Amino acid sequence: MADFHPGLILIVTGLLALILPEQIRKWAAAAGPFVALAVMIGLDGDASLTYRFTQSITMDLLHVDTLAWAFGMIFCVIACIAGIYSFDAKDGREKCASLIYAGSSIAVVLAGDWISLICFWEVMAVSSTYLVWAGRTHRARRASYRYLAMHFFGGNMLLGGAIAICVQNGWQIEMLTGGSGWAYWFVFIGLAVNGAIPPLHTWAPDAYPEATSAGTVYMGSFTTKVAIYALIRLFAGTEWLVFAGAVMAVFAACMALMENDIKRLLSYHIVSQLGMMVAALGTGSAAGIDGATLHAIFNILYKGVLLMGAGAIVYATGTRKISELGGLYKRMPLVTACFFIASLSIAGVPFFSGFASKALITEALHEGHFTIAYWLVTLAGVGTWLSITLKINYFVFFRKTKAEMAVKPVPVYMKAAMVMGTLLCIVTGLFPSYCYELMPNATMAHPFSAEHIVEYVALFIGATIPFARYIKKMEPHDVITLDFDWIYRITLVEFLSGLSKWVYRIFSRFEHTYYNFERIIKTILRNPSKVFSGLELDEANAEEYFEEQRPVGEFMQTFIVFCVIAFLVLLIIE
Amino acid sequence: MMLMFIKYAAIGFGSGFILIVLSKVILAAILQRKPDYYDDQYDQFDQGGEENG
Repeated sequence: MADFHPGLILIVTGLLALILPEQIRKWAAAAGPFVALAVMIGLDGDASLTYRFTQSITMDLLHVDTLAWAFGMIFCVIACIAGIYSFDAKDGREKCASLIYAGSSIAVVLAGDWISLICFWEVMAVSSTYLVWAGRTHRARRASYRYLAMHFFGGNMLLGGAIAICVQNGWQIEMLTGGSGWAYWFVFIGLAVNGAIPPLHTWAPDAYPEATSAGTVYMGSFTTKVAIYALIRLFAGTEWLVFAGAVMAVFAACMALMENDIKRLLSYHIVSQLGMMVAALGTGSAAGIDGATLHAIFNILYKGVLLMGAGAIVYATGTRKISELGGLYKRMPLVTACFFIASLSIAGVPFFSGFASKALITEALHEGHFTIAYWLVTLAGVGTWLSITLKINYFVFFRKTKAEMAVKPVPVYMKAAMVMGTLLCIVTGLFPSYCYELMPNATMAHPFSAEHIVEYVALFIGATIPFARYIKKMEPHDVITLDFDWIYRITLVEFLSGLSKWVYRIFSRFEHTYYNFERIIKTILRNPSKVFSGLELDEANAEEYFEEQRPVGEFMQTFIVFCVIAFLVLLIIE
Repeated sequence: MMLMFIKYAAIGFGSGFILIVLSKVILAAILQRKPDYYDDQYDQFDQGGEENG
């Protein structure tokens, strides 16, 4: 007998959200994730749901082990919290896209074969694009196009690599660690796009801020963590990932320190936290895999609260710029408290959730003698403390401003969602051993040793001194920071623009030549004697000629050019 | 324990200082631009796109 699939439940709920009346839709969209959560809790290794794709290929939609179950559970939990946060969202299509996005993410982690994984991977990309587009500003629309292009590129790389691997090894998902060849790298690049591994990370700080407040919460929770799941499944133990992840963590922390846009700052921090997970899974040890998994789970919780807080700030004040904010703790005390607790969690302050997961990561790096990576991850942790716990909390909530800004009251469902997430951050931080037991290898770290607590408290106190000393330097200004996307947003645009103008000049030359040729023929046909007496070309209406619409001719021209280019490319390849 | 506290406090101080100098001084000088830096690049392709607030 087939079991229920929590991801498909969410996808169906999302499709229903399109057709239900608004009042029913709100409740259905909020309740759907709780049903999915209930189903997820009941799933075990015997769960099975298959679909006959062809005569010889059967899709394994439900493949549950400890790793998949852990990721599926946290996805259901954050879908519940985000569903409450976005309770009053009016756009039915946004609700539909959010639920389909959450459902397809769960379906990816529960997939037991490549076809299921890739199908739902693509559904994730398309549905999350709508969440960016739903921001409905000029910038949001453009960001959504770039987001879609990037994810289509990643999806196709993954598809190409997966097909080559399946032809050799069959449709079951197997670890690729130690592999080589173009298929290996295609799959890795496909995962690196979703995992925001530099230089393929720019879509995250570009698109996340432009989505709606609820959209950003969904987006920050799923795509990148699905990629971490896939990296653990396929590339755990790939040692060069340890150093790459550590560098990624520091790089993104530096970029976050420079940011003025609160959502962009948090987006860069997603990349930084992902770097720590990548470094941990690269070790391949039990502590590393459990550390990466637990850090992903806790990251979804505290990052969710941070993004919800940022969304509440934008809702209340109308701005994302830290330079324009200040003194909000009096007007938004609950949001301040939840944001502050989540910022302590993300930094890894003792007795909050991030501390428990970082303990596993640092243990894995220490055990594997990855000393440089260990210190880089520590540096990234200090960067997190500086940019989120100190910078945002001080400049957004506690800094005195000259004039009090207008602040709209934050809706109760947004506050309720934030409180739920915050409570989970506190409970999981105080009782991490229950979470350690649920991890794939059930590695038990001992984070509450005196030395470990003193280490982290001392680090943060020490790091606060330069922040306080150089508080003027830390003040954000109304600027943007260039990143690797400069390459395709400026250089590639200029290149394509120049190429387009060059191609236009060539066709224009052909068109003028043909125009003159037509005039000569017309003149000869009207007055054949002029061929011998001297050709005076008949006046032709040039303006009319060049403004004439020739859709068939233009289509043929484009088709012929395409065929010529394709032929030349084939010749070169052969 | 006190020595450990001082050691890690010094590491925290040094790390914080390095990150602030690296980000807010060096990288900021190289990478920061006006907020509308990218907006002009699309004007040649964008023929009156609407703002749906």
